[in-house]
Amino acid sequence: MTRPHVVSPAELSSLSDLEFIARTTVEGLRQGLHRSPFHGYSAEFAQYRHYRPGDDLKHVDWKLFGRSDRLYTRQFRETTNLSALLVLDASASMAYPEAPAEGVAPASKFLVARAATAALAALVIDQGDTAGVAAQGRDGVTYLPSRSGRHHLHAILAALARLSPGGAAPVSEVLRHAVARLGRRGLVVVLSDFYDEPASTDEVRRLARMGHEVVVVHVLSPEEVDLPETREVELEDLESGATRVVDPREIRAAYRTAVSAFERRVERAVIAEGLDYLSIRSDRPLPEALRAFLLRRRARGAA
Amino acid sequence: MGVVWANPAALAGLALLAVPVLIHLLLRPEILHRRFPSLRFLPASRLASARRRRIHDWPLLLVRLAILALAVLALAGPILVTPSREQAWASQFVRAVVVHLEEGDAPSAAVDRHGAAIEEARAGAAVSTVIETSRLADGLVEAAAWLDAAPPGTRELVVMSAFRAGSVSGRDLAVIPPGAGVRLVALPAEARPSREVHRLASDGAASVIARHTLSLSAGRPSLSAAVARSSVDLPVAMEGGEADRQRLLAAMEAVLVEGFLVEGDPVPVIVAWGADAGRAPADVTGIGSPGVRRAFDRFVSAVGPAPRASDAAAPAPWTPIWPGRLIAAEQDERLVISGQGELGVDEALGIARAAIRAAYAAPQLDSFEPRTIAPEAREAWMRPAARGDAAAVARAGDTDARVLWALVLVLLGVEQWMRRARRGVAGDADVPAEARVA
Repeated sequence: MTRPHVVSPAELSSLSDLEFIARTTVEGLRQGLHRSPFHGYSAEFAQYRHYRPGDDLKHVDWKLFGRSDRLYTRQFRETTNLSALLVLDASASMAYPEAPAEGVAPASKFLVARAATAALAALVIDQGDTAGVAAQGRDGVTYLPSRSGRHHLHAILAALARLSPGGAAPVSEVLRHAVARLGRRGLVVVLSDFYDEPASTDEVRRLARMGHEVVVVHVLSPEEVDLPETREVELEDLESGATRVVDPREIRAAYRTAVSAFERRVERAVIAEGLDYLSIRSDRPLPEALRAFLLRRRARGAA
Repeated sequence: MGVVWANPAALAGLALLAVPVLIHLLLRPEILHRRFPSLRFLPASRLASARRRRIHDWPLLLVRLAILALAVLALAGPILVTPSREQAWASQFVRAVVVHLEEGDAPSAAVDRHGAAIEEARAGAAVSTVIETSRLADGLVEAAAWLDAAPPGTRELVVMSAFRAGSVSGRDLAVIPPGAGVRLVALPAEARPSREVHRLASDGAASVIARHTLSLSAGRPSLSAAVARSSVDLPVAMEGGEADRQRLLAAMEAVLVEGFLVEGDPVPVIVAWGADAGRAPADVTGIGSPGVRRAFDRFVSAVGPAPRASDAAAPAPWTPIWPGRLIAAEQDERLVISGQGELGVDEALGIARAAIRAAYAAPQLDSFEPRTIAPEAREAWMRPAARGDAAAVARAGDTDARVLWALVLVLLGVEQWMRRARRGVAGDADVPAEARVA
């Protein structure tokens, strides 16, 4: 089965030796790689507790009883599978820089974010977890519930391939509606330029406080961070259609300051909730950024 | 060190520098249009002033101003005056030597005869020329033209002639450009052999041409007795009102008594006098042969200015001689002279004499003039040459404008490149980088 072309095989293979493991506890239906909030009897020892009538005698630590003359029941950490929801911002502002010609490497923020979404979905599903996708683009809402299996991965990739950016739906709205369908705590990855901040960061905060683990991927292009290198130009807002005439040479410094402050605000809002924040520039190689991020997460998880 | 301008009036063109400035102020550059993710972070306070009227492209404007300024300066003909240049201009002599050919001299004969004197006159000149002329006035005009076109330097005119009386006048020398020195070198007035001349005179009722021998005797010209005589039809016809015609005929008889030395074939001349003289003959076209044109010049020269001033014009193709009274026109092989108004005796005599002079060319007899121009008069005509200077360079048109024109060409190339570069930036701005590479 060939995968629709939303992410290159090279990008996928560069992440194949990594796992996308939840740092917090998630609720799963199956046994898996991730810590479950429910303690049970599994292979991984967690703690002792005093024996209570009804406990299975096979979990009583008889050696400890011999030493202490007290009955203790061994408790084990139960692991479960991860349910990930990847929320992709497909509003018109993500279609920047404008879509390149067919067959050319991804360049717009949307293409970069879509490739990241596909790579993460493949990673999650390949490690035996479930993944779903939510987005709202030019052709309306795309929502695939979190499921596992190669067929579902193919469905996700096909949906992403059909997706084209457009409209002005804020990512906060997409988040709210998508998460409302999540039945249990899981991992939510938001890929967006967050131009509807602070609504979007408020929504992220709300999700975190609901017990979800949220990963924020902030995608920006270098042109919008630094303004185009040109003389006087009339800029048209991709979402609202509003226009303004500016001279980038005059306003560049002030603009850089404003955008830099915006990035710091989003990052601080995310980190303040103990969540992960990943900043991606559309002109930089995606695999390296994702790989570095996953390695960082794994290191923190091990710690 | 300074700068002298050959054509300083052209500097007024510097006012044109305002034009590109105005164009740059008035024409706003074509604005680019780009789609952008969000206008949220664009500082609002600066947007209003982004399109205010101002110079948008200083480098391009400066290049254009430089092109215009350099072109104007080049047209003004700058001459850089350096001490070394001044010295070079002053030490370089440009000399025209006019050698007067005497009657009967073959071209280059005078050069052969007076070779040493001519070489002496040319000595020390960086550039020189020798002009041989049988008529000094013509030679001076030619020399003046040569000096005008000559390279810059200290310009001199050397006139070598016997300076017989009447051979040159102060008016002839006035054509020499100011600043050019004039030196008159007197050549020995050699005795000329006798020559044969023809004399037109009246013999009773008929006109005759008699052949004589002209010779100098004791420093004075003298005519021999007539050797041969032949009757001729007078080439001057009188027309018009009877009274005026009779008066002109009487005047003609009177002047023929004096006799005229003549040479060559005559040109027919018609003298018409009367109220309708301007219309007769009706077929006057104003176009004549070269011989008739020379006859016209001889008539104008001989008849002199109008006795009474008037500014009346003459109907084409007539040329006013005495405005309002006497007009003349060429007509194929004839010269037609027409007059009107009261005809005085003196005027009739003058017109009759001029008509004969127009009909017949006079022989060139300069060499038979025994008198020469007084040395004092020649001294008065001589003058030293002004040292060659920047003004002389300017007159010669040898300016430093070439350097400026070269700079203009270079800057035009730069301006073209800048415009292309700006068009390139504008054109590329709307195309994604990936598409440009593709």
